[in-house]
Amino acid sequence: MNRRTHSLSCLVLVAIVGMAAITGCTQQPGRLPAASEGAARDAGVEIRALHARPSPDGVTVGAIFTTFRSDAGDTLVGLSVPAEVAGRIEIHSMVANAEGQMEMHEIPVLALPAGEDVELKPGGMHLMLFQLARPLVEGQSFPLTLRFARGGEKVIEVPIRED
Amino acid sequence: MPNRSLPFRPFLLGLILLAALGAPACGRPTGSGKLTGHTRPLAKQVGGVTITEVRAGQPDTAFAFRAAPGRLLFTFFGFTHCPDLCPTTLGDLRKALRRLGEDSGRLDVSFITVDPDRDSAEVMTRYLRSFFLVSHALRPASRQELLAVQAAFGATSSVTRKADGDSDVAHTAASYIVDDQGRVVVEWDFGTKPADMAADLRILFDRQNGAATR
Repeated sequence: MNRRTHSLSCLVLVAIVGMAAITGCTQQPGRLPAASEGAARDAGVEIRALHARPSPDGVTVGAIFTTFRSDAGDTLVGLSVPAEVAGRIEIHSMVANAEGQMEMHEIPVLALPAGEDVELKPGGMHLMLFQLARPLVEGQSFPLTLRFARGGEKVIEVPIRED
Repeated sequence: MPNRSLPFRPFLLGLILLAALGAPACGRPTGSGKLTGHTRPLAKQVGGVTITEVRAGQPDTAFAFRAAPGRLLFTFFGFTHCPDLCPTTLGDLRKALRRLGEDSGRLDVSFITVDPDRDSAEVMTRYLRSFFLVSHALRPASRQELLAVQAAFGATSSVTRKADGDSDVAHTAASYIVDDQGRVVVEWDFGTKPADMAADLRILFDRQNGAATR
């Protein structure tokens, strides 16, 4: 009986240590790509589900979707892509006008309130690419430079995929 | 012992009656589920409206908003330079068609450009082929033609040319399913999930099957 209790508590201990090791391991890589992919220093803004849609044949515009999160709060104040990717990039928001039509508006800067997910998703906000230099092909990627008011500049690879 | 089952009899009978009466009353012979999209007590009639259909390198033809017998027609007002709503809707429809399997062959897909100045026959043909093997590129030949089609569907749009050569385009973002009588049988808000589109199409095809056998 005593030996059984002992071996049980050993098992529990192993399980706890194991769980700690696993969560410890998964948390790091989970944040890593967002924090340090590309050449820039960590800007302290978490970037999740980042992707650009493949561009339909002959189309010279594109959209990037993602979710930003800043624990301390920050503002996205600027962004750019290399000329080999697109001529221009802007932050856009879709809104319904008085007639119920969907309209696109440029947002000069994007506020990231502390601890809140700011989701850029279809029908809401997106980063719009103009004058694509070449088609956005599924499976490829391109670098995107983001400038945050507090966090500084950050370069991140944008994978091209459907969603 | 036999007494124990007695109280259940009226309940069971009721259930059987309900099942027998309920299905035909709904007009859904294989009837399962409710449409996710919007329906109207009096469906919009669009069967009498025509628009110009374009194909790269081929002469224009007149296209009527009426599905072929036993089929359904999808349509959406958009433009090819649209970064968000149009590719999302067409991409979601493509996913819905994959879910439908064999029945997907009973849906004809059409896309109406509200920006015909930029969307030539060539541009539209290439664009739509990125999403569907076969589809109808609808390009109004005049402002009047576009307005008449929009009025029939209850849609609106506006194109504002900007100094830098770009255009601001605003448009109704709903999509429509038209039956073989030229009726809009369901309208989907932007953002309707592919699974819901597929489920609605299945219900509508079931209704058509029922109507054909009656």
